[in-house]
Amino acid sequence: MPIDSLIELPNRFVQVRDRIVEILALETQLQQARAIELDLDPKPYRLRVFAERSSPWGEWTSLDEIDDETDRAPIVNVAFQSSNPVEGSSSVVSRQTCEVTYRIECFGLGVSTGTATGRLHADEMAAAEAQRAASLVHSILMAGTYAYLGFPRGAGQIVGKRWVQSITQYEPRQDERQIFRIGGLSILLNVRLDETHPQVIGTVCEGVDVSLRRGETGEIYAEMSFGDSL
Amino acid sequence: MQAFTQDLSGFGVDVSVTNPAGETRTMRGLTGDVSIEQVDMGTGQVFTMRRGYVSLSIEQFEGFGTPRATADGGTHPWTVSFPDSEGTQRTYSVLECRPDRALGLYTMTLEAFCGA
Repeated sequence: MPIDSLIELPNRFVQVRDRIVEILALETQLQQARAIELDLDPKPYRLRVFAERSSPWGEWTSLDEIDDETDRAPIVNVAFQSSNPVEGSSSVVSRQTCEVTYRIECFGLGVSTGTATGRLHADEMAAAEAQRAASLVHSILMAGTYAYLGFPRGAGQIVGKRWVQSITQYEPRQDERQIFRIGGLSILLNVRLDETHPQVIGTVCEGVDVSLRRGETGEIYAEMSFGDSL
Repeated sequence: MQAFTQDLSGFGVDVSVTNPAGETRTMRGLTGDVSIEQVDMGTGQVFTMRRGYVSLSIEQFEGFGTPRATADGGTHPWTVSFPDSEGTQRTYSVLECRPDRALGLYTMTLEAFCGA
């Protein structure tokens, strides 16, 4: 028997990924606004957020150090990595509980810069920028207000749990001798969510009335009345 | 090789070299600032990187010091400055210096440098 309803798209693992992107984009704006209110520099709170990009730092590779128009704020890329259904928590009919992993990569740009007494090294700067971005992402996603990533709780709950599983810094390529340096950290965010799929919608049956009676001998009598569907 | 790198009518250009003491000397050599594709040995992925380099004869550094990378942030780096094809002067710091004492050349890998 084929599926008799239209499948809802996208699946929840995509919805959750989009929600993560929305949260990061929103909070970087709000954090900058709060910094301004407190007379602090908003730049450390600025992130550029992307989804499912393979090399969002690409514009940095053609950066013209003389032209200051290229945006040098750290780049964050949110990507779906894997989904593993948990058999023991799922229903074979209606619902699969999945452990979904999202890879959130944070990139920072470093350009060697002279100071009054020496210089700031490009590789150190790139690592510091990437680590600052990762710190922001970690704090935002593990904030109490986003325990369920902004999804409602109760009946029909989508997200059961979110957890930053690991934060790993990329090792620099040994043969890297670039004009600019790009530092990177990868945050793995694990989300437990429920995926639901099309169900069989049953047809309305005719009602059947059943009366049970115990006789004096203890025998059970059943009386039924029902219509003839034929 | 020295004549080749210093030939201004050929590929040689004027390069301004500054040592950590702040002394500047104009030399002549071969320069480059180009984007190339490289393969990441770990992942096999191809990525684009921008590389800068300069080749200067060793004799031009007499009494000026030996160019090298500087790991210490409290030390001013060796810097070089040369024009691109459109005449825009760009400044770089020395990331790595590879002497070739047979040919009498310093070949240096460069990184972009923003002045103080």
